[in-house]
Amino acid sequence: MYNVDELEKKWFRYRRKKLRLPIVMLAIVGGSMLMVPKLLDIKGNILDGNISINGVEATSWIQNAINGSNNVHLAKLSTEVPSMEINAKEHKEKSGQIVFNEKDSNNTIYLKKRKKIHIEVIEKGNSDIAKDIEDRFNFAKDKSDSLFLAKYYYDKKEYKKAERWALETNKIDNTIEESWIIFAKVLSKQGKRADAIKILQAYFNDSNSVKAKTLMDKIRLGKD
Amino acid sequence: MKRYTQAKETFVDEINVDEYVDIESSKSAYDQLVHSLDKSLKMVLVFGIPGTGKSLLLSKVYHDKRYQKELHYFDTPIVIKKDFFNKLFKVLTKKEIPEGSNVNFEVFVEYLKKNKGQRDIVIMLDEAQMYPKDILEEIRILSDSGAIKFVIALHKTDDEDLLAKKHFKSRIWETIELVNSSRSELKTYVHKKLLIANQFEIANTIKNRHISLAYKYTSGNYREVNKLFYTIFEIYEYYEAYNPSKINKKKFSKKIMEMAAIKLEYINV
Repeated sequence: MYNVDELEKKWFRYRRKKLRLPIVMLAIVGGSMLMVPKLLDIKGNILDGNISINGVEATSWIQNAINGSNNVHLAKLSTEVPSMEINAKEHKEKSGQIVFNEKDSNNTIYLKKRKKIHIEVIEKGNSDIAKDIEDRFNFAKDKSDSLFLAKYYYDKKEYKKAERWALETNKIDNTIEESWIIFAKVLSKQGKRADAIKILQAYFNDSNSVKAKTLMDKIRLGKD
Repeated sequence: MKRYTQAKETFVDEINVDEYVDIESSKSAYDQLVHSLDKSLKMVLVFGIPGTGKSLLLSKVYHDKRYQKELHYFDTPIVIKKDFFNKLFKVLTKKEIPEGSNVNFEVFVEYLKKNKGQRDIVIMLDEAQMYPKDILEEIRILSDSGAIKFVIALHKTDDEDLLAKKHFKSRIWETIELVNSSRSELKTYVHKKLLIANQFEIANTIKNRHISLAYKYTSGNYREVNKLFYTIFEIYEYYEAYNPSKINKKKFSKKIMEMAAIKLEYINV
């Protein structure tokens, strides 16, 4: 046997590695979401004639760079900072991102609310698995499938179905102990205790099964 | 035996016809091979990549039909010519070759020609790509006599198999190709294996998402699937014995699947 604890450590390393990429992606997306309003803020000021970055009025060369001009002018420093407001009250049905309206003299930025998407994850339930196995049984007549179904329906307290599948199993192979036990249990659960005892007695006579004997005694005592 | 130990044992990669799992494609290959034994063919080729169940198919057919037909199964290749013909002599005459004597190939072929039609002998050779060229050539001549039918199982991807296929090209009348399982066949395979081992509860916890993951790691190759699930249950077995709080018996663990995949190097950490 190899070292499972060591293997588990490797698995943790693998998980960390696997999670790293989504985290980095998330950080990038998150970071850019925070940066976009700031960038738009700059552009808004440029269009308005005032360019400020962190309280410092920048040069019109940024404006020129944005407008595609090759002329570069010296910076004009100012301590006055015109403030920008982000107006999220209104939003247009355009895209899932921030929309900047260049023509708006107030340099208002509209943030469009994210559309909520309801994703429903539906997993195939146990009943589908049982259905798959039933279909497979019809095709392959495999006793392990029918026995599985008998046990499955017994656990789900669907005794009629469990009885049917235990019978199917017994038809294919009448020596499977578990199938007889389920069959008897199902009968007992449905109130047919005398039938259950009769069946267990017959099986016990053929097989000397300890399980059959124990169950028979339990049913007799009304414990199962 | 504990439940995970029992589940693990069922995935031991060995030829065990009692644990043969009937799934659609293997059933069709089985029927095709059984059917071809009744046809007047000189040679039947069973081929596929390693781990697709060629040996198991041959064993199963041998196991099921050995009392109805004169079937002989050579499960391991005999690479020494003398040993091969000694074995063949025993098959045909049902006697050991006298000590010190050699089989004369021409006399052998003559003997077969004379006895043609009296017996319906089928010899199944597993791993036929491993037989030396000269033995393959003599197998071809023997099959030409019409007195023996050969079923040869070959790997699909090796150079030797191409050589062998080329060698037998004109004699092969029927080919049966075995392939990896599909996703749904894989699910049936894993479930049935566990059901055979009476592990209903475990089978019930294995859902489609686990099968998809297993398929991603193994591409549906039965040998790889056996290896993967053997390792998974080996890890379960360890936790069950030493750290039971780490396992949830009602839920099949993706973590343990990934650990097994790391162990088998399907995942590179």
